[in-house]
Amino acid sequence: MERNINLFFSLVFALSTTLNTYAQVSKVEVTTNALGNFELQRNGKPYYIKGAGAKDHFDLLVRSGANSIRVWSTNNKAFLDSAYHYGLTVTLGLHVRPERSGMDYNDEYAVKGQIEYLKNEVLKYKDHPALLVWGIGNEVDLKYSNFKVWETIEIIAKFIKEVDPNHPTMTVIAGVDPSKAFHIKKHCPSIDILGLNVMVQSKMQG
Amino acid sequence: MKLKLQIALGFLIFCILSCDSMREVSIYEPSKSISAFEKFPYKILFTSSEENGLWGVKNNTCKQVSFETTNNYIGKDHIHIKWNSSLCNYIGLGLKWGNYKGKNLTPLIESTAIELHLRIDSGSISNVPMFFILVDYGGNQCRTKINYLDLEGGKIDTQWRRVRIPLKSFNYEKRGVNMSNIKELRLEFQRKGDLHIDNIIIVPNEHNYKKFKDSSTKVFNSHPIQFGVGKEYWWGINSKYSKSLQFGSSFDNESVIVDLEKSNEATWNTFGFSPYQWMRVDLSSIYSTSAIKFKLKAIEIPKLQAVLFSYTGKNRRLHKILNENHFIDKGNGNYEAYLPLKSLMGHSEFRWDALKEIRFKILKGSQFEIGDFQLIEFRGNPEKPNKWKGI
Repeated sequence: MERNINLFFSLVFALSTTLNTYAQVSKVEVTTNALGNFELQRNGKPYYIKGAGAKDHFDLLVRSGANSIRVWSTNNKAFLDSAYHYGLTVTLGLHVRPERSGMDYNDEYAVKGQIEYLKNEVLKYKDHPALLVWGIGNEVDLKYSNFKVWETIEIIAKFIKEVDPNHPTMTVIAGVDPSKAFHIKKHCPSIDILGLNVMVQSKMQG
Repeated sequence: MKLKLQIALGFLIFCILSCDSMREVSIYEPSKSISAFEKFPYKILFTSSEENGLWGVKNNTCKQVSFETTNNYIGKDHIHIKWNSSLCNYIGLGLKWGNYKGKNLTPLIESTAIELHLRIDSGSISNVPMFFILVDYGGNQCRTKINYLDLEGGKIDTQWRRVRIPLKSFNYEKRGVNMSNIKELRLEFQRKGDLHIDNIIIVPNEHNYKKFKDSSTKVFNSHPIQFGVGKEYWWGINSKYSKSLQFGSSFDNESVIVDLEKSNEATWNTFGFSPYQWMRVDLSSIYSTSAIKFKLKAIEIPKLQAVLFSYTGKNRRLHKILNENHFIDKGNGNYEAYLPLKSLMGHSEFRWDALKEIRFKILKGSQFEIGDFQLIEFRGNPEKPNKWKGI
């Protein structure tokens, strides 16, 4: 009898822990609102990102009114944990090697190795409660010549759609032109959001 | 005596006939062939510090290298390196590998790998900022890094994990490295880390991955070429946002009806298209004898600016405002326009092997149709194309 009670409490504890874990994972989606415009929603409510690319000073960010950060790779889980601690959401970068770093998208070995590595990273972090959006690649289009990189972006985005229904996929490019728009639209149907890095040149006044 | 002579003659004939049917056998022939791997004498790069030389082991502010004698994978010790590149430009170790003898790796490229074992003191990582560099006796270097596919268990943790670096994965072709005369292997470290390394050896390895050919470039070597076939390769024409530009149908191929008066909003007056499916278009062998030709239906010739873009290069944009010398009146409001590529200022610096887009901006003129863009052969005066008798 005592053993059964223990088992019961163990089961209840395990169940509550599991539910608690899943309750922490936010459901984030790109939807179309009443005005016909795209809208990012988090747990069914519109979510407007007020954020920064950041690795520290999260307390300062929160005090300044931020609700979200962007990081460029998965090589430090502490960023996610710390962001969650401060109530910040995270656009988590999956570092897709750009051609300019020496990556050869005609090299099957290098391409498959990168994809398998990033799939593993997706599985590691998909249920993190701070996760908002997947950022698949950053400026892979900058000084590139091989359009096969978009196939890699799509394979990863498609994999995310299969294993993580809770977070949208985004790729971020270094400015837009018709060629890039065409290639992304054609080759990356599993990408939900197109991010643009826009550099503003400011004149410093001394 | 006669009998002896007969016997000797008979023996001689037997010998001659026998030699003809005998198989030649070398007394030095081995029982089986020796593979390139087996023949290679420098299979061990590191198993212990006593036996295999290294350079770059002196400690500094960015790296600490020690030879630890406990928990080795093999031999009496192993390499333990801690590094932080924030204060240094370069952090590396070099393996003298057969005391710097020139090594011929060419016969091994397809079938062997560098194998090593790695572990860390705590936790688990799948990616370590560590690079492998082969250096030839000309000073040329090629590199590669750990591939997830050849990392045992997909991670580095507290157990010794096997890593393989196929020789084929080095970018030796791109870097012009002489793989038949390799001096050394270097290990380069970036960012920050703490790693135990042991048993760096050459092993047989199957590497069945392909290197594909470039498929992002379309090469054209002859005229004529029809440009912009397929509406999906055009931009700037979308009636949802502007009615000033719409696709037309007066010509054999894609055309645009321009009606700037129709538009109520700030007039949209620009459109563009890819010469060929938004690929890199290579016209380098024919550009100097080429002109863009297109058709026009108009009451009056509009003022047009043509802009060409390349995917790469120092000067990625060429432009030209067309004038009356570019047009030939074909009667009934029909015109043909010719834009020689050599008439574009800066054409010699433009990357004609990576043409991206042809774009038109309507500077003046309100209603006309423009289309059927082609690249044709042109050998006239680039500034007066309509005078060329070859048209």
